[in-house]
Amino acid sequence: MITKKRRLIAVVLVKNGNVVQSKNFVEHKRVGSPFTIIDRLSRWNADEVIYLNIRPEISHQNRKDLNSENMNNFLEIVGQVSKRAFMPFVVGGGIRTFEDVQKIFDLGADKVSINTCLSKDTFFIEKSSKLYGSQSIVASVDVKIMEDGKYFIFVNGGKEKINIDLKDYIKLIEDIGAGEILINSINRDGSQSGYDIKLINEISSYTKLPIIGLGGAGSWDDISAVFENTKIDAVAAANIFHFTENSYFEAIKYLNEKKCNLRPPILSDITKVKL
Amino acid sequence: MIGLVNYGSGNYKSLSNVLDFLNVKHQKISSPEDFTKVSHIILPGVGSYSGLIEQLKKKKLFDELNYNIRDKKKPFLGICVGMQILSEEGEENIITKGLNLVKGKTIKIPTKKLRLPNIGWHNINLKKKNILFKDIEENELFFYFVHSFFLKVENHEIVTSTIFFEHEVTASIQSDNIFAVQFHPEKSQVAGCKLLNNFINL
Repeated sequence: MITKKRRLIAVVLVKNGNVVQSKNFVEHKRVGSPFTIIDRLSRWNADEVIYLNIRPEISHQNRKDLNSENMNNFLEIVGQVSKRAFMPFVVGGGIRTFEDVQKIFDLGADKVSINTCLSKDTFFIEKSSKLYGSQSIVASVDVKIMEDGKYFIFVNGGKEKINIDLKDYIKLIEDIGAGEILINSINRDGSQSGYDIKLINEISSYTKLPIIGLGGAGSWDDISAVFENTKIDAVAAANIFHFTENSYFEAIKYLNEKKCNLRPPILSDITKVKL
Repeated sequence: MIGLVNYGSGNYKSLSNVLDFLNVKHQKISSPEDFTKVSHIILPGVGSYSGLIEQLKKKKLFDELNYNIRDKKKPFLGICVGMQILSEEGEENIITKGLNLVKGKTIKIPTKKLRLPNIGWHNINLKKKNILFKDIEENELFFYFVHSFFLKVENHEIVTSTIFFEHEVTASIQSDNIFAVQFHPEKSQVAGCKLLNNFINL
């Protein structure tokens, strides 16, 4: 009997210290505080949580400038959240150096998610993978369908197109020592029109690395459709968890009814475990 | 006082965060003298078998750790690689001698189809009643795993739980004062907190 379960991952998008909802990587609406949402996700027994700093560039324009407040604030958020994240905790956004990776792990994160540097400076990623293990490196890939229906890879928060074939890019990700791939569809981001299952299956055919699918959840059915029509390990969603009360818990309940092989829904009060 | 072995890397911070949250007083063990101040020892582990042994030797913790478990019989909890190094030897990177406190070897999970590392939540199979799993409900028996290697023990009597990953894999063991888990209780929410509490209350 297989004992392993598939995962439903909650993505928390952080912009200037606030949790936001995102549409097509461009529109962002503030929905709450990054400190309170982790307690709700704990209560819902979330399988895994990813915090993404989606506009880190402010801090990177003047990296040597002491006023790089945005990144510092984000790291402060990471430090506070990791004190209460008793589930696997992934952090991404603006990670450009080995020192960035080190800082994030020292704060208590379990994995880093790297996007833009996959196409630029890969040396520090290889170094991090060797030191912390490949399981601690998530390669985040943002894909957009252009007019001719072809997939293109974008970096830098969806602003910069890079001209590498999808298949070659996935190969490169394997070579530099990533342990998982997070696929996000820019077209589906915030669209509530369902995941790009074709894209997920295409990338699955190129690699054996565990894949996390993201982008497009408008209903619990959209999520179960991914579990039913792909072989991937994990589905992630962001915006949809902000719409309703007990949203993540309700999602897990629904996915269990659909027999998607996830952990059973449990509402837990972790504070009761205290000595 | 709970002692948390700190050898420079690993999931020290995550574990210390959980113990803080549980209001459990704990202290770092980073030199041989630190062992005298603690009643319980937790060895968190992330990284490789050979890397952990090397770090313990470099910090002169290896012999003292062995002495405190074997002779002083202090309750010990090994986590992930902290479990694996209890074995006679490990084959990760290079063959490395372990603490030799549990008969058996640490080997790579022999998989044909499934990709390693094994990352994710498993519904563990309890092999016998064990104090470590006290008060953990049947529907809570899920723990988070991240590993490619596992401790294959000679004496199956000490195995308290397993998972199945193409192959039966040891998930936890107990032998006298020695407790060890392949999964990460510090990342396994309520079940993990309960397990840590059970160990601390020994």
